[in-house]
Amino acid sequence: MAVIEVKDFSWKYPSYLGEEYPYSLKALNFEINKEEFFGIIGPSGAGKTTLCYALTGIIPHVFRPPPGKESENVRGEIRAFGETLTKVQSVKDEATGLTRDKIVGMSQTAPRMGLLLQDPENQFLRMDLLHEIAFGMELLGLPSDEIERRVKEALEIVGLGALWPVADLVHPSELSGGQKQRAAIASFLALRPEVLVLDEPTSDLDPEGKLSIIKAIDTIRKEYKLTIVLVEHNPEVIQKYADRVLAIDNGEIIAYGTMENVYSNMKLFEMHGLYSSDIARIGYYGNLQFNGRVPFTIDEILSSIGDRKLNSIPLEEEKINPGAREIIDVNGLNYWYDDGTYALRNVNFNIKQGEFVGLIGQNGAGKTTISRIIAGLYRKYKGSVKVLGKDLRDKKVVESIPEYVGYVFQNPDHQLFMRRVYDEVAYGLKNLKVSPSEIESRTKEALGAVGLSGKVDEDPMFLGKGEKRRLTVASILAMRPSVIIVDEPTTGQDYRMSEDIMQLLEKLNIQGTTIVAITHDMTLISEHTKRVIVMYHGGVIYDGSTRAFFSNEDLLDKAAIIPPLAVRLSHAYVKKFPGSSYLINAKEWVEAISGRMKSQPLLVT
Amino acid sequence: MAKEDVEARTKKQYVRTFIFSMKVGTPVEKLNVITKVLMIVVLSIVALYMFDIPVSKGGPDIIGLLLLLAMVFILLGLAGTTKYLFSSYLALAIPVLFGQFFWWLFFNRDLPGPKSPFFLWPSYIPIGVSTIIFIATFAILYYRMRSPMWPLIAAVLLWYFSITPALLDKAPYTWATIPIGAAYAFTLPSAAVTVAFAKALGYGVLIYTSFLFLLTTRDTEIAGALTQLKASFRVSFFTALMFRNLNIILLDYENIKIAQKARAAMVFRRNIFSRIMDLARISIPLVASMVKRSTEMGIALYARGFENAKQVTYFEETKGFSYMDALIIVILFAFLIYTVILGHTITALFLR
Repeated sequence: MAVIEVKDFSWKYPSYLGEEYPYSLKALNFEINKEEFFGIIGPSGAGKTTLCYALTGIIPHVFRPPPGKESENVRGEIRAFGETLTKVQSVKDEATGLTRDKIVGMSQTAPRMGLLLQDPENQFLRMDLLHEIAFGMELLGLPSDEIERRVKEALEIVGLGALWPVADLVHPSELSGGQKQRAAIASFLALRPEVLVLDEPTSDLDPEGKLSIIKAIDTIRKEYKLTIVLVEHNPEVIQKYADRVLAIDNGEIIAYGTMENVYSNMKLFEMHGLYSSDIARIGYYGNLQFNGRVPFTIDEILSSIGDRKLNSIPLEEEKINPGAREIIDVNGLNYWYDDGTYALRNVNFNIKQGEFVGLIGQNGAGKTTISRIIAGLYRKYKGSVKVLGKDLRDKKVVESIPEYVGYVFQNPDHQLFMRRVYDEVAYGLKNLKVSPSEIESRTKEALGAVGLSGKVDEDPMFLGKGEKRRLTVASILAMRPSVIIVDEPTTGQDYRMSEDIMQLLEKLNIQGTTIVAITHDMTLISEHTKRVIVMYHGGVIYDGSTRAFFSNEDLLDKAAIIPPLAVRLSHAYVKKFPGSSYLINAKEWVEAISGRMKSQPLLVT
Repeated sequence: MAKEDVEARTKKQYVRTFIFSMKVGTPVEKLNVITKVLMIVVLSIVALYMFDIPVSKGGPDIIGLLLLLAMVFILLGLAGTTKYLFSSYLALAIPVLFGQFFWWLFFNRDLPGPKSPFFLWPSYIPIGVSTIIFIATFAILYYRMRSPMWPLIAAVLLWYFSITPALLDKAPYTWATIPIGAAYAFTLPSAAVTVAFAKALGYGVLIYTSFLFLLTTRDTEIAGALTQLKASFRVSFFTALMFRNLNIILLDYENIKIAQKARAAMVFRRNIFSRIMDLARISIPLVASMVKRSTEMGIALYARGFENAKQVTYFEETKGFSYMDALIIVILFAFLIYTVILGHTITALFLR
């Protein structure tokens, strides 16, 4: 039975500046069934968030079109729980006797529907955890004992039960991103909704945190007979949990159906820049099939490969140049917060010129803290940190560090200060007192390197998400630092954008820039880095080859890191064929399979 | 509350306040915000009254002011604010109080006694030297010991001994005469010293009471206090939301500032204009971020059913009044009635 029905629905945002916007959602037709886990996928800017707003009535009941423009901005109908949620109807004005368009339908979907957005910071409306969870119930006017019972229960469900006794004392700033997101989920669960719409709720979380939250949501769905609508980039999550999937791009439906049907169409994923899983890519490019489609799980692909052993391929390993200059040297580094808790404990490592290093670990492991110390942004530490042999304890050295270490922050919106793309890149150079002619040539070169030469006069604020990210890289690149640290370069971006950024970083690395990438995306790590530094609870627990790390299951467990599917496939394959090489990414797998399959194509049905 | 919940609660030692944090379970943590606001108001009235008593009517109530200051310090100590924070704010206020002291010492012309020619430049020398001695002693010892108490005591003693040789008691109403060469003498009326000291103490009471409020009040308590004062749910909620927003804006500001630093904003010393421009530039991403956050907060409110809320439940929104509240209120009103209303002074009570 359909709980939400979308019929020929179109929407365009009202324009108040004269020029009309195009439709963000175009003639959408689909249904979401009761108690279903419904996945929505699409590239960045496809209209996924707008669709979430429409499904919960925020569009057009909160973002209202101007009077007289209702039928232009809103077309079609959305029904929820068998009633009209949104529809434009002609009504007769009793005062004038004229007919006019009016948006009709349920103006409020709470508490039957909940909407969880990407950034948990913006959804935390109260100043303590207890009232954050209780807030919706207070608005409903539930009795206090019922509120208390539900708060406790909701915290238990999302894994925050340990915080119940102190919930009234917990300030939002004391919660990690993952805990805040769990709290946001709990605040809706306590309202006992029938439908929960989640818009990329775990994009800032590490793989383990992400999967544990989605698993918790799925458990809740089954237990409380909830309908879940989840917008998510991660194909593993959608493939594992979604019953049906809707893929959209440019406001239009590009695929709709069961998970198997949608994810089998790999050409569609390529064309629209969508994330597909390692397994599906290996299957597709390696020409493997399972039941007439690309395999989705490790068991399926192993079954496709059968009992035959793969050919060995030359494996790329870290090439250490013993003569290379030492760029970063961290020795006995300790750092603690003002309240006395340790952020880093006795951290030691060094990075040589020309390396591309992945800095990985769970949320709160200390990755950002250590990289900000290296970039000279945090100073209250103990131990030694040297950049190009210069000790960062020296105030003059630390002040001049932006000349040597470039830091690209996670949120591009926080690092764009100027009103022109050209000025944005030139800003750092002016601060370094570079001559005007040099500023011009370096700015043009940096913008060319990131493909933004044609946008020199545009306002950075109005660039697309991917373009903003590239502009932030250009603004650092122009300063010609010896090392660039990028913090979560691909968060919230679609596959094509992520690949663009990673290829740009690889290009810079080949040209001689040392790169340190902090990321939760283990697929990117396995595809682009040859060395990883693995952090856990403020310490380094592994520093070495990426392949050796991903090969070691004990170490992966210790670091609480879920490796990419290609690596997990290797673990399963090596168990089956001991002594086989550990292949750590889809590219290696495809090469190994294709090499063998040239003579014998494999199609298992 | 179940036994294990009580145990878990005791493990949480600190709770966030407006600025920084305070210890959980202290008598001050249990104080109602209304009591704290009342404390600021009453202490301000009493302190202003005490240091403003004219010399002709016996002069400022020094012992009364010392008692008020002691009370505020005891409450700050009871709040269990971390030693580092307590020390920082203690140290921060001291230059201000010294400034107050010297201002009232030299520029208070409306006092009985001889008027001194203290605007002559050499008169500043002994005062200046002793002040430098005070600041240098405090700074050097604080740098070495990282604790303010002993450096402060040492600095005060050295300051006193450095200025004493210059203080020669001469005439009635004259606390000191500072000889400046043969031609001039800098005369300090004794009342000026008392008044200046009282002013410094009084402003100390005001400053440290404000610190007490900021260091020991949680933003979440404001909504509860407004509710207790019968403000509507919307008024108290949006006041609390304002504090939440402020918290987020500060986070964003920090991140943007760091991003600016990473773009070499601090590599070379730049002129004031460039630095002001950098500050203005922060507003671009900050405003954009605020707009985005406000929109999403509005959506989050809608999603929780804020628009249709009719009969709101106040779930543990308010904090009751404890014995500590009653005790504080009684003491405050005792001071208010005894001094401001009845016109007595605590100093007179002690000297009787």
